[in-house]
Amino acid sequence: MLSVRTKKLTKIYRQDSIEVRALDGVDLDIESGEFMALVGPSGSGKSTLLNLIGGLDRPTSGQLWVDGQELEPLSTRALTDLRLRRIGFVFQEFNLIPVLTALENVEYVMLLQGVPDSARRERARTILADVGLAGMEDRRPGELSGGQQQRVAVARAIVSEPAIVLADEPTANLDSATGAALMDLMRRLNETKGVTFVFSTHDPMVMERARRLVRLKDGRIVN
Amino acid sequence: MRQRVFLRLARRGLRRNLRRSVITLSAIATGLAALVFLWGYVDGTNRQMIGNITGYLTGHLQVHQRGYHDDPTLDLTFDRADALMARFDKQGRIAAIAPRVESQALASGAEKTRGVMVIGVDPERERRVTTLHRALKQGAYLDATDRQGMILGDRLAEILRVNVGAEVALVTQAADGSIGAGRFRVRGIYRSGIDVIDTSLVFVTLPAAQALLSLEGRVTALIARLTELDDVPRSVTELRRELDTGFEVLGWEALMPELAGNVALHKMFAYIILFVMFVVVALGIANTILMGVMERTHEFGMMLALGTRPVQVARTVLYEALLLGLGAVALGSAFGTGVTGYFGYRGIDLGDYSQAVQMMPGLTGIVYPSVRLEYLLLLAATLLTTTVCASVYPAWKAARLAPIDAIRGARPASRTRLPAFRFAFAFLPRAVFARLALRGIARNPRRALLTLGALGAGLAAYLFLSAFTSGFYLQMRDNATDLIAGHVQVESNGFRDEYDAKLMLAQTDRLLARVRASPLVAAAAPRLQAQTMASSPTKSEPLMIYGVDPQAETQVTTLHKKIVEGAYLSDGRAREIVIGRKLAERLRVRLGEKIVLMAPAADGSLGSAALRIVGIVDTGNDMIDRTVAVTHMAVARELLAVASEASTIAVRLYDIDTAEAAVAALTAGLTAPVQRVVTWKTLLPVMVQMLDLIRVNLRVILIVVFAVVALGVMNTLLMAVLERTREFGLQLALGTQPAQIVRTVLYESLVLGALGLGAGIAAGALIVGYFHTAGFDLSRYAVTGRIPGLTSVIYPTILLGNVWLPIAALFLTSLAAALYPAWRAARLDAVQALRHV
Repeated sequence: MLSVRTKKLTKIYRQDSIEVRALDGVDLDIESGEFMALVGPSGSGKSTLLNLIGGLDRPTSGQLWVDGQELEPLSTRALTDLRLRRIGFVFQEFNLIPVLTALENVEYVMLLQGVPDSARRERARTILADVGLAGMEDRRPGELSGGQQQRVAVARAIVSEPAIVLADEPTANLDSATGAALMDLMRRLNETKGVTFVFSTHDPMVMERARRLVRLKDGRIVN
Repeated sequence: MRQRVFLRLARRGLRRNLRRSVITLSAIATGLAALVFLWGYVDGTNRQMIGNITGYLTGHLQVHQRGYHDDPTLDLTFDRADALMARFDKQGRIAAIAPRVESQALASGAEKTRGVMVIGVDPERERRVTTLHRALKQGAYLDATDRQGMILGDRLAEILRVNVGAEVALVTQAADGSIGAGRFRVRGIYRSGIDVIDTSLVFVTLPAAQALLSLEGRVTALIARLTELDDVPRSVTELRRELDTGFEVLGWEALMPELAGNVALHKMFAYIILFVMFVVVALGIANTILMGVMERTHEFGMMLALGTRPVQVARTVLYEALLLGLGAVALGSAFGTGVTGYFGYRGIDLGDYSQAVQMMPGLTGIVYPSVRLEYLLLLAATLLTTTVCASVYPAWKAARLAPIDAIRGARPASRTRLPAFRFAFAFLPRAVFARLALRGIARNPRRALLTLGALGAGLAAYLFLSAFTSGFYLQMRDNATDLIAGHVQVESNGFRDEYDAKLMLAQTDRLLARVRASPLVAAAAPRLQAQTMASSPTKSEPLMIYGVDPQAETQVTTLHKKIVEGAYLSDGRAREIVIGRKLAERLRVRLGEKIVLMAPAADGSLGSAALRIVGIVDTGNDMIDRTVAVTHMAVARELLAVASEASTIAVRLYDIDTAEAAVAALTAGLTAPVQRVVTWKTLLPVMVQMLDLIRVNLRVILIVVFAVVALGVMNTLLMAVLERTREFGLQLALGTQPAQIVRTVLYESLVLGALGLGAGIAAGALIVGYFHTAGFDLSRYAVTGRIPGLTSVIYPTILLGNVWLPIAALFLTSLAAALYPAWRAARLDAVQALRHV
């Protein structure tokens, strides 16, 4: 089953009179349960592709389906809802809402979805334990290390069982040991829970652990 | 539940940035506390005026024969007072009721005479309605059995030169048209602290007054005290229903329209100030919350990316404002109530300004502000609403963030480049820190505009208030001096204390010639001035008469230009008089009719003269229109039994601002040491003091505006520094000296301050300019007639001398307010700052 499909996906940014072709006719299929990395140099279009898949931005032309749903005709509100229910995000850094505890950060998305109180708390605790943070539920982001913060972000991303988790350079700000541990965690979640992961990265350690690599250069897929 | 998480986010957001929250909180709370205090001050003053004047004199309501209030003549009296009192005393809301007889009379001590209001009271009943018996300084209160007893105020006792035990004669026109006269003994002297009561009333027993006025068994009024002041309107309605249509029932507002007018004027001032403060406070709040949102762009962007709806993000921001507002309102209410309560307990001693306050009927030199729950709640609710409304824009802005940009921390490039900055760049080619500062401002024009707005609004508000006062001042000064007082006056020492016919200027003609010879003097006119009692066939009223030489007088004053009926005095020596419209109404006389003047003459006799009314003036000022009249010098001399002297010389100068110099020049020319020269400030002391009082109040307001504006500017700059922590960190890392960072921040503040003041001056000038042309109409407040020289439309005027200092101070304040953020920026740790997002 396809999780994501893109057809001639193109994104052009205009700054003043200069036109930048960030994505140039990308055709890409991502199957459910994949553990895939988008790789390429800075400015190759990795983040742009992730943002389009995540519904954070809209393409200039081309088509895009996520979880069987074409994004183009969706209203902003419907896109927001899609992000909420079908997509999980892990950002490069400062992933968490600083005023909420680890547990509350994980609960946050479920709360927006209207998951009942007790079920929500129970699931958040379980997931936090899954990512190795049992006992740290009540800590605020400022009281957690970078690696721990990213684990909370992963926990939050997968807790509502999204169709796909998008991670934009999740290890970029972590030392190599912590980054490797985070990748192992995601790989395990991918294997045990069947969560689809798509990363953007230029970290060789991440590339080693990915099951599929898609290389981008100047907005095109080159492999 | 979902609601609660946004509430929680808001609460924690506030706690996370404690310093910002505290500054905003304190700005709102200071504003609220200031408003609570100002309103409490105005309200306390009002209640004190009402309480004192009703407590000492009028009672809460009065019952008269219909028509008596508009025309208090002895024809409109009634009997059956005992039956009526028996029916209403202690009924419903009425706590006590008492009968009164009131009429105008001339009171004479051993050597002095003065027009007074004589009030006949039933001592037992009166004590239960009014409180004057508690204000006795010497002697005792009236005794019902003592037909000769009289009490009076200490100031009147001084004027009449009488003490306890002394004899005072009363002369008046009785109800049957005869002259009523009686001799009384002073039993007690009171001091209420209220001018009208202490200088112009005498109290005798009811039977004695009835005998004096030929009113056996009849009264002019029943006065009542209610258990609650606020019950007056209801009680008036009830009594009107119960009594037949031959009676009128009036509450204190109708009895004392000037008092009600003063209350209204106070309220108007309060509302103007409250409005201005709201604008300043609202801008400060909008600013702080907007800064808070910008600083947390990343956080909100992430919330949006995770699927939070824009409306939910907006709700978080609104909740923050609501919580902040609630906290501030609680704090501000407590602080404001505390401060007001403290002064309410201690009292605010107006000291040197107390004479001005005493001119307001019912006020004493010490004011006790009071807080009323309904005002407090109204202020708190309005400020809370303002706070929440002020956060709508930042909330909307947060909701509209583009998640990707927000997460990356990218800011949409600012396309706004204010021309002023380019201009400034041109003049600062090499000053790199000045450039950094200017770009810091230009990078966020919206924030700059908000800061400018806060500063500008504060200044514009101040300029308007200052111009309003200046206009008030100039108009009062010019009207009062032009109409009757003149710019300076030559007089005998002590003349104006008693207007004694014996205190005349010697060798008037030589003196006049010398005064006219001074290069500062435009014109001078001799006058004979005296206190008299003016009577028509039906009524008597006290009157200040000016005997003048019409030709000379019209060169000095402008009363002749205010003639609305008939003409000014002719050049002959006819027995004619020009009176004010209000006096004509009171005496119920018309043009061409005669009135009789009575005055104590220089030889000790009672002089009298019958004069024909040839002109009626309407100056727009009740006090002048009711109490001042002019006649020929010759007529006045005859009335007062003096030969060829004048009592004063009124002088008009080419320039009123040279008054002090003119006094020095003219005094040097005086031969007799008993003569002196005084300026209009001495002639119109009450006016000068009242203007001083307004100036004192303005100073208080300015301090409050300062505090709010300074907090706002400091807040904005602090936010700006926090927002740019990383940038300053980078500068420090690159080797910038902390002092240079301080300079950058100070430059920003300098530019913002200068622009803000420019905006404030421009806005203030526009507002003042508009009202300077259109006028500011106070006529609906009906107070202007009470204030000498003031007419009902004020034309605000900016006097540079009054505004340059506050403008400079505001500028320095905005610079000083930047010191803390500048110091903070300089003390940043470069490494930590660089990690900061």
